[in-house]
Amino acid sequence: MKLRVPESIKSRLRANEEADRRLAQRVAALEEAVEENRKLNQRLADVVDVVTELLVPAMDRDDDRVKKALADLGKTLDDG
Amino acid sequence: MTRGYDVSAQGILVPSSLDGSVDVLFGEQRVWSFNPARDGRSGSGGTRVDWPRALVPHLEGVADVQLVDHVSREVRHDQRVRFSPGDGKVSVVDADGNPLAVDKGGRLQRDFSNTEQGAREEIMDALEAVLHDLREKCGLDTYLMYGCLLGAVRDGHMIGHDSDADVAYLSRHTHPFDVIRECTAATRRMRSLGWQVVPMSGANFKVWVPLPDGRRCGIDVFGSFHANGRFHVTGSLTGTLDRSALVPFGTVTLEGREIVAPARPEDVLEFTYGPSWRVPDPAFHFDHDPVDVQRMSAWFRAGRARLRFWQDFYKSPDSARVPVEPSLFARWVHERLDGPADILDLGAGTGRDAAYLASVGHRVTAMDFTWQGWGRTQAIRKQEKVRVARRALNLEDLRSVLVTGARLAHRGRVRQVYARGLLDTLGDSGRDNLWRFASMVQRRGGETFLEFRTPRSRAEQKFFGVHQRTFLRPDRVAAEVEAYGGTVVDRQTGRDLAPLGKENPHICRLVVRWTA
Repeated sequence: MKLRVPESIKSRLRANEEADRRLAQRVAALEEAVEENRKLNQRLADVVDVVTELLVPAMDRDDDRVKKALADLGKTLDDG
Repeated sequence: MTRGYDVSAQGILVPSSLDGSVDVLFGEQRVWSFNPARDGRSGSGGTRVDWPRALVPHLEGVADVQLVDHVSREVRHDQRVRFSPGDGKVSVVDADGNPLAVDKGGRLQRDFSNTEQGAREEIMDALEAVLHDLREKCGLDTYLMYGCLLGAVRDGHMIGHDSDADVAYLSRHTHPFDVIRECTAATRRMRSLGWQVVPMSGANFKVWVPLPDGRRCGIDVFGSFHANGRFHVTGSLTGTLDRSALVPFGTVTLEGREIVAPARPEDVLEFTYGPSWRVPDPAFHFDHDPVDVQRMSAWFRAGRARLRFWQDFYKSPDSARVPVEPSLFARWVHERLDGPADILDLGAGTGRDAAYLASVGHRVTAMDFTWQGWGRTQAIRKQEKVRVARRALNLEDLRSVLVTGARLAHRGRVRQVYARGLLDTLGDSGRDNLWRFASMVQRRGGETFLEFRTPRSRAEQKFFGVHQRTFLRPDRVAAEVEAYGGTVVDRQTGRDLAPLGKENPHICRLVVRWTA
């Protein structure tokens, strides 16, 4: 015997599926945003480091010290 | 042959009942250890374990193979194996003839099991000197960690199958941003003290210490910190560990010397290796929760994304399949240039195009984040009598981009930027950095030449099989360039522009200017 599912239940199931799909999309978007925010720590730390090391010699218009600061900053690069 | 065992070029077959760590010896030399339950595949005939990738290129000739229980030292199986035709003995040594073994990271390394007592004393001297400077000069609360702590607590000695010495420091900070800044400062300070330091991530680094016999010993320095109620140690160790297990620091004895260690080393070892940490297991490798690995990678390792892939690629046999002759794109760019130019070849790889461009009269600087593939075209450079300068550039690392870009921009020459296949290998942040870099170094003019696969090639078979590739729509690239202030002055798309074997991808070539 074939069981007949009432239209109201079918409709609720469809609504639940749609809610699940939207939730999964929101979680994926949040995960992406969290990942991006975590990566900002390194990027911001690098910018702060470069600015900190360069700001004073740059304000002093001391080209030799600017070059030295850049060379020293270069030394902290990954040499693979 | 022992019943249920067989060793061949295809792998090792052991009885399904075998458990625990098994050392694989070629003659007297341990070359690898495995755990059948963890590393093998169960089948009707027993458990089959594949050879680790790093060992495969060495399996040429004949070897007397022994499988030995790591703890009891009982020889489980003994077999003469012919891996390939010829009577030469299988040799797993480095260029200087030193024996190598596969470490827990899957790489061939010299380990402490082949280290004489004299060298152990020198390694301990180096470890103490590094610990001293980390504590006294860098102000880091440093303690013994990982394999060194394990060896010290187990029997007071370094673990034979370890290849590096491990220490950690307990950060005074609780936010990744501050942890990174603290590590950067320590890296810089250690360098200024004369140590050879290689950053491994935003929160750990390696100190290479030369030993009197010409070898060098790596001392890994791992950042550790509490954040959001959890304790984190780089690489990817994350969990619950009370601060009282760490401080106030005590000492343990390693190779007869008192070394700073956590307050309760047993608790730290259980946190690190699990409850069975007392049982020796050279086949051990961490089985971190992927969520923890992802978190630590995003915090500290984004700049090294894809680095290991390319290092391994250029070390693999696939590297020999990279053509040595110049690409069609290199010839196309040369024809467009009006006489000898200064060219930055970004993502130079083996240097095949850099060598060609130099041979036709350009001044070329090859830039990349690994030089593993560079040797492939050494003979060509020598034959053509060309010189190509090399400079490190990591486009996933904003510091590298800013510093290298600023230094080049400061030298007031007009440069051309050449990037073939580079966009295919970068992620969004790397591409963002590429536009920043190109616009910095071409403030005085020049053009950026780009060649990349389009999404029409996504589903097609590739000459090099599975790689992490990005397929970009030309319109999207053009929009990004324009958002950075650049102008696309030429655009070509089509096939037959970069055929390789049976692969004939749909290609886009763009020429970009960053000046009016």
